[in-house]
Amino acid sequence: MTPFEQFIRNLTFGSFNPWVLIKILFVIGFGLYLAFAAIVIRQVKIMSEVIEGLFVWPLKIFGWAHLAFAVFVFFLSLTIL
Amino acid sequence: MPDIFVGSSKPKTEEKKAFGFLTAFAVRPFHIRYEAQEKDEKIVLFLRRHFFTNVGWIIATFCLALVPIFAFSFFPFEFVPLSFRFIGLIAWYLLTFAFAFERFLSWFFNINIVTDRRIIDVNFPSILYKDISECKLDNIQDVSSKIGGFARSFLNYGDVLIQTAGTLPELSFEAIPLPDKAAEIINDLIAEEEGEL
Repeated sequence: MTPFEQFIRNLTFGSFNPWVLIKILFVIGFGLYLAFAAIVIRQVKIMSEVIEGLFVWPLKIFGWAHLAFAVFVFFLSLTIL
Repeated sequence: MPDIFVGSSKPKTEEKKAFGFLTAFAVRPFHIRYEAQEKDEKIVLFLRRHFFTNVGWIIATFCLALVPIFAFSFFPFEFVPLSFRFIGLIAWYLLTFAFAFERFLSWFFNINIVTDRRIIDVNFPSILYKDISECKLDNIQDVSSKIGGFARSFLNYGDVLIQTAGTLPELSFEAIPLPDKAAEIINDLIAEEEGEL
């Protein structure tokens, strides 16, 4: 067993499970990421309004797909972790 | 007999170029409009940083994408539950994608526009900031171009520095393709503007 594995195992004492803490951190992280994905969509919209006529539709599709995937991962982390 | 050695009668500023998704230098792009553009104002130059300036982050993204492959082959993380390994992997690739997408957006929307009346520098230094500066052509004192370094000399891209009068800040178009040509077009426009006054 490596020292790091030993360290992780030592963290598990009594009824406390460190993976619960890591799950909470993951869920908070994905929640923040969701906010970032939403901001990206808004920013692409604002940027495309400054300069009209640019080919922004691929970026908009990417932005929405990115947000959809972020939502999916957020709920996935809630269910499988 | 055809006139072979007669140059084009069109002024340089009248050239038109095809405009694509990744275009970094376009003369008179007819379907582009700036939000504060006046009705009789025409866009003469549309500029972005040369696409080669993206190579750094593209390589960084590629390396980041390879990290989990090497990490899992050298350190199997067997003490980590499978579900956490899976979600961790997804989180890594999401962050890698976010990095690449943000860098691309920053390149895509950092635009310099030269109209027949003014120069506009649209900057989005990061996803949360927007900075637009503009200067009228009659406030410009000097326009110079600069190319330095191996990649810049080889691919012909560089900076255009625009000195403005009074308290206006100096504008610079950084790492744009064909900086000499851009400076020449701006100088022609300034000369035209001075001729009208």
